[in-house]
Amino acid sequence: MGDMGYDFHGSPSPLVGLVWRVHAVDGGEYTDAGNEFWGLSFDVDAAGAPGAWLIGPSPQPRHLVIRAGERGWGVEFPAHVFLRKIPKLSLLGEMRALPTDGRFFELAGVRFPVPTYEHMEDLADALVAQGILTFDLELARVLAGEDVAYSERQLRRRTTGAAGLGPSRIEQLQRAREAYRLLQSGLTIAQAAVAAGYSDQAHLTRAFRLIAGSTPKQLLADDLDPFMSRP
Amino acid sequence: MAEIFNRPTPPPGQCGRWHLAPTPEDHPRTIHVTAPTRLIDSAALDDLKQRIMRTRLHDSAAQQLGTSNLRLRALVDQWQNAFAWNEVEATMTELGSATTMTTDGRRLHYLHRPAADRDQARLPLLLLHGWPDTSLQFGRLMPLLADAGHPVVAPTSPGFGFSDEPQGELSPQLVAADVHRLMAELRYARYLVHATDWGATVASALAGERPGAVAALHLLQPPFDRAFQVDRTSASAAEQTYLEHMDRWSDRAAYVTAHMLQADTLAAAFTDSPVGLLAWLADKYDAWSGDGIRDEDIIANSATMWLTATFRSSVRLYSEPAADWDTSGSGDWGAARIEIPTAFAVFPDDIGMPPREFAERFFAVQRFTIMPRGGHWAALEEPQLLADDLLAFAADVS
Repeated sequence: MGDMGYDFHGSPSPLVGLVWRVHAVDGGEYTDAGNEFWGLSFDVDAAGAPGAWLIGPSPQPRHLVIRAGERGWGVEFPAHVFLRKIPKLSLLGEMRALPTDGRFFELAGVRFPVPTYEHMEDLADALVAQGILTFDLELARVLAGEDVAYSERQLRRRTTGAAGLGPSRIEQLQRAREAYRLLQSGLTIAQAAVAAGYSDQAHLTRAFRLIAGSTPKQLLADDLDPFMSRP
Repeated sequence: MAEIFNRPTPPPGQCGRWHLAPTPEDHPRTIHVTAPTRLIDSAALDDLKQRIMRTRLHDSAAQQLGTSNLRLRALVDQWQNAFAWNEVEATMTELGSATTMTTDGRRLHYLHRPAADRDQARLPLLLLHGWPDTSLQFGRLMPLLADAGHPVVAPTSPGFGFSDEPQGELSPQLVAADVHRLMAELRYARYLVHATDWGATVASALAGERPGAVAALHLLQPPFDRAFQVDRTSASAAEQTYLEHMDRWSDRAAYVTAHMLQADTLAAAFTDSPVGLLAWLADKYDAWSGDGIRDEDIIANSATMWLTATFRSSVRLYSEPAADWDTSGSGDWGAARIEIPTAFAVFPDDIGMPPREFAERFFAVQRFTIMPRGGHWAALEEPQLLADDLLAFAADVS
């Protein structure tokens, strides 16, 4: 996404996955790989009209169009962070417009200042202080692969409730990202498939089609691949 | 012509040159007095100058706690060399400084910017300050509101600055009755109240007693005592975090306890020493504000309080019997919920950031805004942000 002026950085806040921004001089398109994350994004188009969006998690790839002159920036939250009053299940695959005048935006009855790229953590803190943003630390451990004493049913209910996606779906998304990282590090497709836990190359290819919309081969040839928007 | 009434005896050190303002023809019984062109006489100003010049500061090696000598010296230097009291008076005059009399014969000072065209006027706005301010707190905000077509009235609370204290108990209800009567005198039957700090307590009392007059409330915080009136077992996680923050704040707010229990002791020092008073006030201004507060604001306010010798009367809301808060019970008690449309503008550097659900326990919240910057003195620090929010809410409710 280099020619679209996209960059991101991590955050010291455990609530924040990453903070990103994009400036499209000429406009362009991007396919974002499916993921269990969700977030808030803000934009200003070439004419100065502001937008604010609540972006739900999406197990499928999303095709994004960025118009010439548009600037966007936002925050991506990990799956164990969630909105108390808005279930993620209702947001799956969705980009929901939030009321905004460019200076403030409204979420769950509270008007927040539109954050800057540099101070996104202030927004996360204010969302927590308002009881709108909350988190499940045990779920964070589960998603990080640690053992937690849950029955499978408990785990499914808790994960789906907080993340909007079930544990096996999240694991598929995580595995695809891991395979992508291994491909980037120079492994062959077959090696990456096995190392990431797929039974063979065909399974990896099928997973990439579903999650990223392209095969590993296409993806390696692309300048802008669907996994590039996050670490 | 206006009738003449008994003038109050000006406090010692002030001159009493009162002028009668023209009375509105259609309301001949209203009596208004413009503020004297000079509120403080030159002997009092000379005395102040001498005292500042003879300031004596400690030189102890002790760890710094509270206002540091370094900070205080910078403020004193500015007070001595770059501050002119007559500019404060000129600002007040520009803002429509005036006084009226309460029924029990007290002078009530206020700033008033009427609408250019009364028939075209928008909803009148009543602005209520807290401790340790006066109506001067709204000096930057008032023109922004008036330019948008709203008549604006900012009274100075009884016991502060140029508003006399009552002989009897000083309660939020008394202040509410005073300001309501002022609005009625000015022929504003229905108005929106913007308030902060103790002003929010007064505004709540006013809304409770005059629901027909108060069209809406716009507050910077819920009144502080509300944090101690909640059944904690019913508090959400966000409310718990806020209440624990307020507990920690209150544990360290030695000034509240001192105002409640040792007001006369403090008053002896602060009525005598302008720099002592300055240190006591600067502490709070520095702690609860962002970058927008100016040293000249802190000095102007300290000068007002010292020249009017009102430290003791200004802390009466803390020290009177009515302020003897009982927090021993359980369940939500005390303040009833106010059903008048209410907006909150919460500034991040203020004392705490209440969650909306906490404010909803006590108010019919219609608008709840987290501001990007500014603190307890938002009207001085971020007048434009505050004006925009207040005007948008006023447009919604009218």
